[in-house]
Amino acid sequence: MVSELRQRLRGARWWVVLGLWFLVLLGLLALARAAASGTASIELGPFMFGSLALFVLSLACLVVPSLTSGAINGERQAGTMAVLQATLLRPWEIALAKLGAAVLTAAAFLAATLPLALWCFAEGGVNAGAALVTYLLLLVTSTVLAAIGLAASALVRRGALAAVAAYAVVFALTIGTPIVFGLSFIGAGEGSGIGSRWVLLAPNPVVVLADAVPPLTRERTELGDPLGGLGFLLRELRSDSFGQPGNPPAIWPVGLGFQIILAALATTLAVDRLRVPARRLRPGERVA
Amino acid sequence: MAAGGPRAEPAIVAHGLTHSFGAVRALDGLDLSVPAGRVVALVGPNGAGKTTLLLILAGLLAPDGGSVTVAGADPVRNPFEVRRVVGWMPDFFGVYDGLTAQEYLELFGAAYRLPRPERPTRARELLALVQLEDRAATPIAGLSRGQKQRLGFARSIVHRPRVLLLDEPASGLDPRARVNLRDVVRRQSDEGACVLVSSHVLSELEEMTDSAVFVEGGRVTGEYGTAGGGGAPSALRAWRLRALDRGSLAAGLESAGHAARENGGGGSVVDLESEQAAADLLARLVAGGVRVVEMRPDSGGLERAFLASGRGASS
Repeated sequence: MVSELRQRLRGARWWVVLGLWFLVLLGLLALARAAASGTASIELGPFMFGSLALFVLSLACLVVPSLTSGAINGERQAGTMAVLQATLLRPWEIALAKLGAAVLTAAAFLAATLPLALWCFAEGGVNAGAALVTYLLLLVTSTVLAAIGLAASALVRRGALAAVAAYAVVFALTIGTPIVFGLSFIGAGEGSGIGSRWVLLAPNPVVVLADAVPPLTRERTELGDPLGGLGFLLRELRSDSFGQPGNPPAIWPVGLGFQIILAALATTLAVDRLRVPARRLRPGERVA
Repeated sequence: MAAGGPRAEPAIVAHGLTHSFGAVRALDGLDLSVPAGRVVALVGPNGAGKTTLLLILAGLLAPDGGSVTVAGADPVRNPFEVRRVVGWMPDFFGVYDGLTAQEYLELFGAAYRLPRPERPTRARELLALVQLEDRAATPIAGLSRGQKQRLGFARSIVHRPRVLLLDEPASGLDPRARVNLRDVVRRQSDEGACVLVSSHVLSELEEMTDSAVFVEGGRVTGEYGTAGGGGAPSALRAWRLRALDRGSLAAGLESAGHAARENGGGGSVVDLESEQAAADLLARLVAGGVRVVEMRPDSGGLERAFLASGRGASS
């Protein structure tokens, strides 16, 4: 209900962003295809789809948090939140409606990439089941990103600062995790294995996607497609920790679990900040 | 206009309400009792605590201390029970510019759990009530400030509240819309709602309220025209009189035992405690041969009473 409203609010601007999103991805995919087409050993279809998945994930990290980072503080600023809170709507209904609207919007963005995915299929050799899992994971990741933005919009009153806060968390996940992983080796003795350090990489959305998606081609190889290649490396990484090269266990359950807990925490935080009657207001804060 | 009526259970009761924003004490032991079926003005300067009080009554803000019941429920412990019966129109509010007026009201119909089929009819009904029916399909962005204000008022009564809290409802309204607002507010109270209206523009309050409560520094500093209800002490109200012959009017007032003040417009002003007293005085004057051409409640009375209460509070 509130969600339909949010959608309307977006109006014409929304279509511009959607169009831009499609064009950027189209360009990137064409570039990937051009880069790969010279090499005979590369299967074009899986390579393109794997690239597309990584491009979509990267762009989603940029776009999706902004779908919610102004959702609550924006309504507070506009003076529309208090009248909603004065109705019989429960705080969680307001928060989930905001989150739902953002996830629906993200789903529309994902749907806009389907023609590009079809192009990859047309090139042949793409495992349809793996493609389906990719899209599912992208949607889950978008939900997590939207929840992070929602919490930021509930906690940080000023719109620009809330966006910064949301992106700070997203960057901690995407760029922070490999940095911490790298730093964790400083001071470690030479020849010491990776051990359980792979956990430091697990929360990374790219890692989760690459690890969880089944091979796009017949088997997971180092070469072939960027996503599968990354997944292959990750499994190697973890198997190193267990010293069992045969059938390395997956990383993604840990990462995905972490992300889902993070999203749940973020949403709970947002719900909590919408609760009225408010006991205490921060200085300068207005209810209405 | 005040039709005493049967004394009803107070719709709003507050005792010793306190609330502080940081170092600022917005409410400082406020006591208030507002009966159902009446329109009561909440009068006070900016920063007196009016908005804070209304926020607490609307179940949006918890008081630091004191007790409050709205329509028999505690807005802190049972906020949903209170919100079901309370309509609140804040002094500053936004509307969703992307929606039409009709959609906006239907949205809040849903937020107040009105049955789905009822929402469109209720929205149309409300738009007609605030004279916006020709704007039903217009995006709200295209409405004027006064029209948005009227839409906001319509929104506050979507769920037919028994307690209506209006924070500066007339700001931005042109005179005609103000008259419409007065009529609509009166109709709410005729239907049994208790209406609490805040404003610092006294003339606009006087025309729509039965009585007034003065708030300053987070406390009630006085009441005015509350003779009919609430058990509050009755207050004097100023009446303006004019006769063909000024001398005979003055003499007539004197013989009736009223100390009359001269008034700039060539008339006299007397303080009377009720409409009953006013009617009695008029009958007596006319019987005594005074050719009265005008007698009406002085519209500046509320303002004077407010200023007097302010003096009383500060001395």
